Amino acid sequence: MPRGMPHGNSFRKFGGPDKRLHLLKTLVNALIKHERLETTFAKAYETQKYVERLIDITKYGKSNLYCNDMVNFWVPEEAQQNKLFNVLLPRYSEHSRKYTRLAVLTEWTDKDMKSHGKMAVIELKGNPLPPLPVKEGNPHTLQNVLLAAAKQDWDYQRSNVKEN
Amino acid sequence: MNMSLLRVIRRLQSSFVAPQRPTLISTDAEKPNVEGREDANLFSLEYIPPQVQPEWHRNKLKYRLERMDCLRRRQAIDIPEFYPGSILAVTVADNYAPGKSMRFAGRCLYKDGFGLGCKFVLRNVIDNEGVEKMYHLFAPYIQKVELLRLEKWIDTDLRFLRDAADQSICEIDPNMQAESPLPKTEELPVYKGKIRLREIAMWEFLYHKQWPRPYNAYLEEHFIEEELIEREKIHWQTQSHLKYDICKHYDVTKIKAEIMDEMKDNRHRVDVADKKITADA
Repeated sequence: MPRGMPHGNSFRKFGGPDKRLHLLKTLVNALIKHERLETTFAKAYETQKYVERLIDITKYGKSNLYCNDMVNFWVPEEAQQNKLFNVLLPRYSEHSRKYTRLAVLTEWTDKDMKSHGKMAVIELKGNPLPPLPVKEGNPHTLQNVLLAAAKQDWDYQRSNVKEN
Repeated sequence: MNMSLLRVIRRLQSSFVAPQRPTLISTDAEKPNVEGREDANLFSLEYIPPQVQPEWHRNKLKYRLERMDCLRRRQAIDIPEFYPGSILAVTVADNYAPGKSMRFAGRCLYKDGFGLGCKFVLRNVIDNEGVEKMYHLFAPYIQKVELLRLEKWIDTDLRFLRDAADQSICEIDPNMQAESPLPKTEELPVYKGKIRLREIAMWEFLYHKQWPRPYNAYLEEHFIEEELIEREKIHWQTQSHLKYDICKHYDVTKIKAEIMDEMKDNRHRVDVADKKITADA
């Protein structure tokens, strides 16, 4: 086994704990501000975990001590803090798990791979930006037809519940 | 007027009303248990799985099965609630002991591990010789676990008691009479006293280096204040990032609620399997 092999550690190093946190902090702030980022896959994959955990923590409420500490560290700017509590929290109040979407960019050269690896786009779900040109699956396969029908049923039931 | 007649009139005029017989109904059963002292069948610290990352490496089925096994074992023998610091006596099956069973009393030093792997250590000083025994809490060879005194200390790891100056803290009489523990509706008082340690050259482990530092050990006696501050600085130089690394924190509140729901269902299943109740009830 090579010496630098990580065992049971699923986090990337990014040049040491302090540098890593500093890098992630800037990425998280940028993502909250612009709602969509284009970075290397490694960085996008790490920010995805941290942003989702941060939104989970904000659900405790501003009065929670732990929540207050963590938000003050990760999002020091007041404008972003307000956005986090007043825009993102109501948007994701009914979501349970994934608040972000990660898409890998397909076009890269050998030179890119040597310098920084593959590139990816990470975005917050439900953002007001024009949608990404993500290739959709074939809608006529059996699974997709059934899923679409199930989704239609689910939407219909929910609209009925709201009316009542 | 006749005196006897006067007495009768007085008695009729008096405002005395016989008091009603008091109704003695205990209200203890209606009170809920204190948070942190739940019914062990519903929640206990050993039901919380270890933090494993990434999340899809957790074997949730294994955790569920193991919790179910813990519950089945708890139906077989009565395992009392205890913490590191409380005094226990454990009887285990032993083929080579007279009477084929052996009893050992001592103070619990620590309790560790998940599910069936939960283990605890008892320490006693017998004839000026320290004796420690490790038991698995749900092991089938354990016949009886008696709680002699319920105590809770600030520290959860009391292994510094091995180096206590006065060894009589762990010197426990095996024939000690059990004291009745506080009911679960009341909060346990936490022991905040400090234990003096012997000289540093005799220590098995440098307790001032570990973090968090043991509270119940009287370390201030052996070091000047600046030495301890220096130690703290060294710790934060290497570990300070953990304070804000949110993905490495372990949030248990959600897991605890899930486990309690799950164990309620498990309890019902066990009762149905043992035919104590019918499946519909």
